[in-house]
Amino acid sequence: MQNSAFSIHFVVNSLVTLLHYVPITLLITALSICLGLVLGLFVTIGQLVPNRVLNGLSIGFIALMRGTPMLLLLLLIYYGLPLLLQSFAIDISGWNQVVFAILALSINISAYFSETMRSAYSAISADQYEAGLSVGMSNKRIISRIIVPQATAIALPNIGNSMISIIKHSSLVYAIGITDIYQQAQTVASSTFGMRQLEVFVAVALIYWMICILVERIIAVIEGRFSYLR
Amino acid sequence: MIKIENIYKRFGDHEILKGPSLSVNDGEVVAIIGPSGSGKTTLLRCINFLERADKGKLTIDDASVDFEHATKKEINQMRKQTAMVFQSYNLFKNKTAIENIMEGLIYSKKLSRNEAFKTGEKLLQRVGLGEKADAYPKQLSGGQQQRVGIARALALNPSVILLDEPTSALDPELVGEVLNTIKEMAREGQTMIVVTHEMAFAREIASRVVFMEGGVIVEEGTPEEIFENNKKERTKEFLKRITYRN
Ligand SMILES: Nc1ncnc2c1ncn2[C@@H]1O[C@H](COP(=O)(O)OP(=O)(O)OP(=O)(O)O)[C@@H](O)[C@H]1O
Ligand SMILES: [Mg+2]
Repeated sequence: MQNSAFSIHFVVNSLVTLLHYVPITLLITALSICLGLVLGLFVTIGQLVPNRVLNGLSIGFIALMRGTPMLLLLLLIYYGLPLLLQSFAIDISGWNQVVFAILALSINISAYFSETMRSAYSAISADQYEAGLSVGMSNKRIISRIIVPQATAIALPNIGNSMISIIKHSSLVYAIGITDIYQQAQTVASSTFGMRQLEVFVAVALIYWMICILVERIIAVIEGRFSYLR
Repeated sequence: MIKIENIYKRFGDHEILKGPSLSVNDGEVVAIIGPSGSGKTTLLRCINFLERADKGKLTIDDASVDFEHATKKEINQMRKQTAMVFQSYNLFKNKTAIENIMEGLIYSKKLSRNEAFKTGEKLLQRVGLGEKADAYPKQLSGGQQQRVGIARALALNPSVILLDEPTSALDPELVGEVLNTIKEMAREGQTMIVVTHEMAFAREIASRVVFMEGGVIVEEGTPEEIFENNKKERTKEFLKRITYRN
C-alpha cells in the first residue's frame, strides 16, 4: 500500500492536465450566461407587460424551470428536443453536444435571472419614473437612462449568485458526453485504477474554487462601481 | 398665464377634485394651503399630467387642452410648459447633480450635451451648489437635493413651476436654504404654484393665497385677505389649527 498516502505531487499533475479543459467550461458557462440574460429579459418583460396570457406563460415557465433538476433538464433537452423538432421535420440531431448544453443551462438560468430582474425592476419607486416624465423625457428614455441602470445595480448581487451556480451546474454536461474538467477528471482517476481519485477530485475542486472566486471578485468590482446609488 | 377650469378627478369612489378653477398670471406666485387630503397634490399632479384628470380644461399661454380628450402629443406639449418640484425631491438616483439637470435638457429640449452642461453649471451656481455638480443625490443633504430639484425645474424654463410642499420632507435646519432659493425665484418673476404648510413663507412670497378643502377652493385672495380678513368659517378654523400647531 505504498501508494495510499495523499500525494500533493499528483494533485499538481492532475491540475495541469485538467487546466486544458477550463476553456470548454468557461465557453459553455459564458455563452449560457449571455443567452440566459437575453432569455431572462424576455421572460421579465413577459411578466411585466399588461397581458394576462404573457404573464401566465412567464410565471409558468419560471415555476417549471425552478422545479426541474438541472441534470434532468439537460437530458430532456439533449434527447427530447431533437425528437420533438423531428416531428416538425427539423433535424438537429447532428448538432454538437455543446449546443445542447448551452441551451439547457441558459434556459435554466434565465428563470433565475428573470426573477432577479423583475424584483429589481419593482424595487425602483414610481418617483423615478415620474421625475422623468416631469422633465419631459419619453417612456423609452426613462426606461433606458433611469430605470434600467438603477435596476442593474440592484440586480447585480443576485445575478452574480446565479452565475456562480451555473458555473457549478456546468459540471453536469459530462452526462451528455462532453469532455469538460469533470469528465476528464473521471478519466484521469480511472487511469490510476481509483488509487488517486481523491487527488484528482481535489484538483477539480481547486479549479472550480478559482473560477468562482474570480467571478465573485469581478462582480464585486462591478458592484463597487454602483456604490454611489446606495 | 396658466388657467385651470373646472377640474375633476376621482380615484375609485372618491371624488378628490370637485371642479375647482384657478388662474395664475405671469410672474404671480400662488400659494395653495389646506388640510391634508384636500386634493392639493392631486391638483398639481393633474396639471403636470402625472395624473390624468377626468374633466376640465387647462390653458397655458395660448395653448389649451381638454383633460378628458387630450392626446398623447398634447399632453407632452402641455407638460413641457410646466415643471414639478417634488416633496421628496425625486432626483434621478443614478445621475449626478448636473446630470439631473442635463437629462431633461438633452432628451426633451434637445440641447446638445455641451449646451446642457453649461446651462446645468449656471443653474447650480444660481441655487448655490456650483461645487456639487458631480455629487450623486445620496451624497447631498436633503436641502441640497431639493435645490438641485429646483434647478432641474428652472432649467426647463417652463411657463410655470409647480412645487408640492418643497420643504416638508426636510429637517428644520435645512428648510431655510430651500425657502430662500424659492423666494429668490419669486423676486425674479418666476411664475409658481406652491403647495405649502409654511404659512409665514406663503404670506411673504405669495401674490395670492388659495385655501383648498374637500376638493374645492373655499377662499382665495391676497395674503392679507386670507390671513387677516378671511370671510369663510372654514378658513378661520383651518388657520387657527395651523397657528396653534406651529
Ligand atoms: N393614486 C391614488 N389612488 C387613490 N387615492 C388617491 C391617490 N392619490 C391621492 N389619493 C387620495 O386623494 C386624496 C387627496 O390626496 P392629495 O395627496 O391630493 O391631498 P393633499 O391635499 O396633497 O394632502 P397632504 O396635505 O396630506 O399632502 C387623499 O384622500 C388620497 O388618499
Ligand atoms: Mg400633498
